Amino acid sequence: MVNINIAPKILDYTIKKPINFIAKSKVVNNFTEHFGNDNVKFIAGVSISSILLKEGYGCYLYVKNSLNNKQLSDEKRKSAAALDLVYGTLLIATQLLAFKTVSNKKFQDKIFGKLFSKKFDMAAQEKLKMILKRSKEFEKITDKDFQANFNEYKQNIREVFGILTSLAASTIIARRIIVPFTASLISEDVKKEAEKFNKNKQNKV
Amino acid sequence: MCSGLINKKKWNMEIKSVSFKGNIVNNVQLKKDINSLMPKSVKFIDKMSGLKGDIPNILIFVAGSGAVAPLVILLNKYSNMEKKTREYMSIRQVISALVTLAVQVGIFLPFDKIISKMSNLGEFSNTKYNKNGFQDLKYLQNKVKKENPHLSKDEIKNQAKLIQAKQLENMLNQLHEKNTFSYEHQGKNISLGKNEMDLLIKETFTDLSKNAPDKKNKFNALLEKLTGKSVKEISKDVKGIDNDIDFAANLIQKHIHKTGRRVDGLRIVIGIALSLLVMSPSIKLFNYIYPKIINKLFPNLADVKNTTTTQNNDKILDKKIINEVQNGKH
Repeated sequence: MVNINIAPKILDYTIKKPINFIAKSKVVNNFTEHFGNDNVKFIAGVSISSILLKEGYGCYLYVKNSLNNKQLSDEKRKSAAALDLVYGTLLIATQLLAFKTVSNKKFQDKIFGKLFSKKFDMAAQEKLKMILKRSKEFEKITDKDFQANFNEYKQNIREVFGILTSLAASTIIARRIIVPFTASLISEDVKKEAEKFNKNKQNKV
Repeated sequence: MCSGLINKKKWNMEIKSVSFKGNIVNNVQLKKDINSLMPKSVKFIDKMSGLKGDIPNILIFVAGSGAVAPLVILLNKYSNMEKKTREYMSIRQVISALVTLAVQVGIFLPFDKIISKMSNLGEFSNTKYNKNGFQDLKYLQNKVKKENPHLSKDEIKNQAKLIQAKQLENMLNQLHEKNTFSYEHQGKNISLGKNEMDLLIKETFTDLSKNAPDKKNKFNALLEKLTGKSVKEISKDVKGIDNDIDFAANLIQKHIHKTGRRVDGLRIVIGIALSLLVMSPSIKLFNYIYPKIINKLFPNLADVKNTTTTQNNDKILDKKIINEVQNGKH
């Protein structure tokens, strides 16, 4: 019969203790302190480095594994590796571009402001407050209570707007349409160039 | 369960300027009514609020990576890949998305939840990451739901907010009585150090003067005279500059914000380390399984290793030459 107390102990030793160990480290503490202080430059630097590191390493692994995949024919190996190389490179480029533009908070604030500033400005708030105070439920609502709830509503709209902008432009259009379209367009050319390069290299030897 | 023994009058005065991840002074009906008076474009965005969170992110990933991208590869008539190769690569893309999804759901998501739970339960040895004195609304909602499964969504949210409110009141009391924040940690009572409190107070003053630039000089003047003063005394002095500002509430909000951001930073570090660890085995797994899946499920696209074909061709060629030599043709 399985001892049900084992599962928490396993979780403790395999996951919680390592996480605790990492959290105690001086390097990690210095790193997270920048986040605690909202050090914008540092956080932006981390985001960019993370994209380059993860996507770059991922691209390298995909290409290497494709080239050495003994289950595939020679042609398929090269096609897969070429597609992975172009795909990975384009992903890095689009993610960096998106980070600086559509996923950037300042950029989103600007667009949100241009599209919706009149819906959330003081005049609009006063108008809304006047209408709502006419109802029995909110006739006694204080200005501060209204302001607090209105601000929270606005913050939610702003957050969802940010998600939609990133989703439409970066996640769907850039990463799932432009990148695969361009990758499938040029990967065969990259494959041919790589074959030419290898042939020339062999001839020189 | 919270018994509601909270000084509501003090509560309403104290907590308005403080917000955890969700504002405590929350009127769901008011926000619904505000939304009903907004134009269609804003109402549409409000409808999309369900996109926030882990599950929608995963569904969007699956739809994008597993459906849109493969279709784009398959239907790209401008590509100079052969049709069969395009079909092969698009199916490969679908399998890649499924492997990535399995890794996300099986490894990254649970790690994220574990870090959040550890922070909310105060299980970090480094107390800088612990939120057990002011737990996340989401964590409290899940806790209330487990303890009271029969409650409605709104009732659960309200109960969770009541618990948050009580935690906030405890923090306010600690500040006024002990001039610091303290938590239960592994059976002991841990307080924030003097240096850390001094830094927190200084940073709160900086934020206040940023938000009220016309009163910046007064805040700066007060900042220089803080040594030895209790939080109660500082709050009184700040009210002298602006009666609407509750300094203690702002101090609490700053502390909560800083702790939350540190946990975000920790999540990112662990996320990056985990990505790099898991990437190689998951890509190897992907490269191992996708040819097998395609060859089995799509035999018309099955990839035949041309090393075998080449060897066979060579054998045939050798045999031909041998025959010709034997027959005196060379």
